[in-house]
Amino acid sequence: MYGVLLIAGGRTHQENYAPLFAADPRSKLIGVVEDRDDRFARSLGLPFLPDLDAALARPDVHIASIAVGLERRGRIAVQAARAGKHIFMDKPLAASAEDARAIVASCRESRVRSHMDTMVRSHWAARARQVVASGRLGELRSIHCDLLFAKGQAGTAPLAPPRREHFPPRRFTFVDSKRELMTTGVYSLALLAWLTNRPVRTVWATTSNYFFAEHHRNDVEDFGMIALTLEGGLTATLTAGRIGWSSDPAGGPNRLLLIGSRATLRIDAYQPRLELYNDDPPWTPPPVNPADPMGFWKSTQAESGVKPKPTWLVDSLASPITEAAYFLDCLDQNRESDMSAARAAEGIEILMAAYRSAATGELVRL
Amino acid sequence: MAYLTWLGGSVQEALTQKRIGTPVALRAFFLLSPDHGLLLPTLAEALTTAAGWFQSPLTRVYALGGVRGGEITALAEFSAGQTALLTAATLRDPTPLADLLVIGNHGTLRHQDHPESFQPGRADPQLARALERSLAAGVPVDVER
Repeated sequence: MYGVLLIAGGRTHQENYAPLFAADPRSKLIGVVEDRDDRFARSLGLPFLPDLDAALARPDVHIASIAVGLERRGRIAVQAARAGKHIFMDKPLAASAEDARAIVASCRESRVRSHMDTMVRSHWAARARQVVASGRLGELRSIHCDLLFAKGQAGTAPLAPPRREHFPPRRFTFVDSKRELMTTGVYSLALLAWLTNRPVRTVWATTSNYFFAEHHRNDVEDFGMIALTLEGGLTATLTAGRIGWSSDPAGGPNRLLLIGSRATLRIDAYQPRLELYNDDPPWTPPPVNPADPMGFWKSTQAESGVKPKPTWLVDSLASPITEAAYFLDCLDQNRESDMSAARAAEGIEILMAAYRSAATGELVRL
Repeated sequence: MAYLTWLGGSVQEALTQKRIGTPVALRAFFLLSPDHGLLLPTLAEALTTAAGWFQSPLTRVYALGGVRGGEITALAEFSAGQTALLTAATLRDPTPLADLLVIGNHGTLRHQDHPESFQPGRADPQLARALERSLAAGVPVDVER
């Protein structure tokens, strides 16, 4: 039985991870540490632990599930790995390439396993990988990933003057906004690495403030695009961002186009689907919740009364295996995750290159 | 009427209603013809059309891929801060595809079509040259006006 220490709790992605570990018979939640209060711990019937060092020293803790704010993630992940705990990481891995490298090094030195949450466990990602492996597309020429979250009350950002990016990015997360190229783009970069196993050679990127006054006020982007070249001449692009509650019939565009020398493959995460139209009142976005205006967290969405959008009925969004179950499989079988800290760190290098490119307007070579 | 000319007008008419607010970004895919020679003209024409929707001239473009490989993508910046990512590829499958996602600050406008025949319109030669320059140099280039 793996004991799981939850590092961070309410209003973090721990709200998603904790139930996954709780549901798996191979793991047991031990307690919550590094949370602002004990409400999340109490909701799970767990002790709220006051001290991280002491919690990490517990012999009944084997896995640290780390969902603290991005700016603190690197330091705490290193601390957990050095304490000999396997680390299950919220995405993105870290706020800088240096932090990411430190996490990788500490895992290696301490001989612990690592894993970062992504979307590669989904049905549609598995299908993409299977088709690429089959050779049906011929030689893969390009991959295009669009992932945009339909959340937040859009239309409040001033559109002029255009955003001016700066490098290095100083802060990523606020209560009311996050750097969306980092937050959303990380999924597509992880998918790209997972599908191709090829290193990225060049990066050109743009960042923008199109939608939200909150992002504009905090000087963080709500939208971005990246164009990449990879080893062997493969090219890739991604669009990433948060574009407003009412911009999509579901959670936002989430699609993939693979172009090969012989054929192309288009995947939409919301296909196949049923579409239902009736005389129910139309879906309306929730009122703005000052505690979480962008709808980042499950708990605050529930507080705000966010209702599921009723038109598209999709039953294939659930992954065949949860992230927690996958990581527990890795530990059981003593093998590296396919989304280890080392692989996730490559994504951070690319994202930092993207911010440098957006700030300078130049192509960045890796 | 050339396909992109028709599409450009149709989208422009919808944008005029302001239901998606101000258009700020575009994602487009064109897999329309087996002819490699149409890739650059298609992209150039689409970028010109996007500049019209944005009411903002194109300032910088980065093209990657290549005519020989049958696939070119352009990431473009416009003077008022809009961005566009457009991909044109030769037709490898039985079904052609034109896919547009126009993103406004108050919503999105989408178009997906499988046109049976594709007639290119008139591409801006200066823009086509900018795309060629970027492809040849492997870097973004300014678009001179």
